[in-house]
Amino acid sequence: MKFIFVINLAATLLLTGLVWTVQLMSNVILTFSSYDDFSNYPIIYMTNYPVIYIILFLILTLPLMGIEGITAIGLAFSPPEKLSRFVVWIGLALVAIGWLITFYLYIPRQGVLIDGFYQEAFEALVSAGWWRTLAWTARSVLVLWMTVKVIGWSASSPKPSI
Amino acid sequence: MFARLSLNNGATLMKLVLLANLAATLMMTGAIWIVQVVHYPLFSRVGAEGFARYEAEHSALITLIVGPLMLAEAFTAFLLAMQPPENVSYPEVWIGLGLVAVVWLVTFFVSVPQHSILAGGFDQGAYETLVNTNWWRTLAWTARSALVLWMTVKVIGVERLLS
Repeated sequence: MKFIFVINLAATLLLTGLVWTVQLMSNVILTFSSYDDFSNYPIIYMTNYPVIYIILFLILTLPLMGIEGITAIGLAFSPPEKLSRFVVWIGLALVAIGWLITFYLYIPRQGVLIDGFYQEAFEALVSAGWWRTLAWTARSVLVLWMTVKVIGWSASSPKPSI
Repeated sequence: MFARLSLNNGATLMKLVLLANLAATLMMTGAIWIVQVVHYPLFSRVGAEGFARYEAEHSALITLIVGPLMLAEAFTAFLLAMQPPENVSYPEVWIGLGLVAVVWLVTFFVSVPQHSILAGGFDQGAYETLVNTNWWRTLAWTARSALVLWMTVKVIGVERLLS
């Protein structure tokens, strides 16, 4: 077994917390876009967002997604003991789903919104975001289950004292 | 036989508690980084008109994810401090619980009061205090992530991971 198993676990759990927060933030904006007296905010948010925050967001997310993808591939071709190939390939498939939704649905819809706030495009963005959030949540459950199997159920070594 | 069964069940339970603690901590770390780097900076761009409503929407939704995770993290960190999993030492689990105490203290004695001020409308001083002090929570959760991952590595076994 390799350290990539733990790295994969960490990347998935971090990304799950991250995508849930992004998704809930998107829902705040969606709620606000429906207020007649406050419809300006989504426009400010989407079209005039400081580049530095976009860069910071990418610095946070892209390396984590890359690490998760690479380690999931490594696990698929070399599963840890006690794990079947079937389980690790489901894990890799969920990574693929997350990536496909992000790059073929989520980012193109964000690209449309850079030109201006369009209610339908934003609703489509939030909808894609829910599918992505679901994929990462399923991955979290799966990698935690994999960890339970890898750790094992029995106690064998003595507990160290202070 | 029953004593051994009981020991094994307890040891197994603590491994599961550690995994629950790991999941809650890492998810919180992902959440707090995105809040600090992307979400809080947006607060200053909302504008005075409607800010109180924005703050209310934000607080209601963020609590949905942060509330259960913080409670799960604190409860499992307390259980770990009472009975560390095999291969994990008492100082490690107590440092972990100490870091939970740090984030809870900052949350309830620093962050929540700033949110209360902002609930009445945008206030530059409260906003700056909120963002600046949120770095303490961000760093504490990041440190917790490293610590709990280390504990998980020890429970799996470093030798097995290197083999």
